Amino acid sequence: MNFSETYTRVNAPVSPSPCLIEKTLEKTKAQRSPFPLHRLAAVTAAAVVLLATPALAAQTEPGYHLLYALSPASAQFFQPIQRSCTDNGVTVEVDSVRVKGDTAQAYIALRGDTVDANIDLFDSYSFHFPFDQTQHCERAGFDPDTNTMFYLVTAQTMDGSPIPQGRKMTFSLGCFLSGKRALEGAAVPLELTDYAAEAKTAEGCFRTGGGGNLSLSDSVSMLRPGEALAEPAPGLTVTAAGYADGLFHVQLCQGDAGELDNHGRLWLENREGKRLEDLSTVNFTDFSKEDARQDYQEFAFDVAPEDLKNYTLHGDFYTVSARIDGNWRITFPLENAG
Amino acid sequence: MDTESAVERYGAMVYRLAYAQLRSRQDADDVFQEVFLRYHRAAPPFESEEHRKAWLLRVTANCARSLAASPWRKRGVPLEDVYSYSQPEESGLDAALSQLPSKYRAVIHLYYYEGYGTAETARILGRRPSTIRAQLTRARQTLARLLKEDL
Repeated sequence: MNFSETYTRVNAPVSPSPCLIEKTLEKTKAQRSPFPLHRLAAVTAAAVVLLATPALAAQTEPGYHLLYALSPASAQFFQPIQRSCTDNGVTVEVDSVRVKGDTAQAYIALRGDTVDANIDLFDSYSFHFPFDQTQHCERAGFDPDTNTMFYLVTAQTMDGSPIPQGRKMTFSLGCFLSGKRALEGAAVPLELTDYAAEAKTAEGCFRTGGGGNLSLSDSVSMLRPGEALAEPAPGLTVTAAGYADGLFHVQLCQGDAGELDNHGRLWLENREGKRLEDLSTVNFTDFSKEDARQDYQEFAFDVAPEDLKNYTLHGDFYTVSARIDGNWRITFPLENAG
Repeated sequence: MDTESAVERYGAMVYRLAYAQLRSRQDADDVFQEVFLRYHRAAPPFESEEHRKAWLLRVTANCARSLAASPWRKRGVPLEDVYSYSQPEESGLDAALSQLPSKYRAVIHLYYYEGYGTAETARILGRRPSTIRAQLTRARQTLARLLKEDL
């Protein structure tokens, strides 16, 4: 047997049938082109969905925070670079960036008519980085000519590795307090002897905190807020005074503390200038008035009614004139610039 | 070369290699379609007709190997699914070939029918030339034993 010849004869009848060829060519014609339009459209649509969903999500505030919680690197990747942002007449912008080793520093500027030398960011700012880090923010200076406050943000990688090249950080700010004033050691024009009697106490107020030597048990009474008896500083008023539970109470209304954070501290002072500090301080909130939350600080002094004539009321008061709300967000690459 | 021309020119070559490996007309049909659909969708630019031919043979061998390994492939082959021969030499060789492992049949086919040397066969099948030589030797010995004569 000649194997090659026999093998050739064995293969002679082996061939695709005309039906198979026709069917195969029909299938290839149905595909029209190596990248048929409908297939291309489907692939494009899938790509758009896959890529745009996190990109779109990152453009909305909840989506951005959700994505950041899941993957900081992805959230930051999809954030568009925006070095400057203006809202409510105030511009926030990145002034310069320095990156060296594991540390990145950025100077961020706030500029606007309502920006002054004592503005308070009111804990409404946040930083977002695409890597684990420790960071802090500090005031770097104020330019009165341009009403610009500079902040220095410093971030270090947690593991000491170099700052990743080309990554972006985001600085967000929701509001700040302007016109911050401190009035310290001021005398409060209130004749204490007029309030030597028992005072009516309040019910239904929500205790939010306090301090001092007395426990903050529910047994500690709070005076019923009334009309302003004195206004030691703009936005701060004395709304009640009198005795409760054997202690002399003076109540200071802050207005909506969540709005402006006006607050103060009271003490009694005798003729020789000797201070009688409060025995306890209780903070509480009255939600009874709709759309008018009122926060109070109530100071309790251990002083007998007959001794009130020897004292006058004094305090330190901290107020702001305005809260500037906005939605500022800037995103910039962590690379040397400016 | 468009797909229709490629089918016309190389269709039989593809089909024979597929059948040589799978010993089933139905399976060879499936491989045939798959090879030319791939050719239509994603054939690379060829430097020469030899390149095109080698590409088609390589894709055929790969598709046949994948189909042979598929758990969905029918293990039994009906009588009408194989070619039959009237001459004793041809039917005897066909019966002997059916007893060879598939990987040996591919080597035998490319060497004896397509006329490739061991180096080219190695490139087409993605194996080392020494492997091809060893497989060719074993395939011959097996067939000789089955046919009781030297090849």
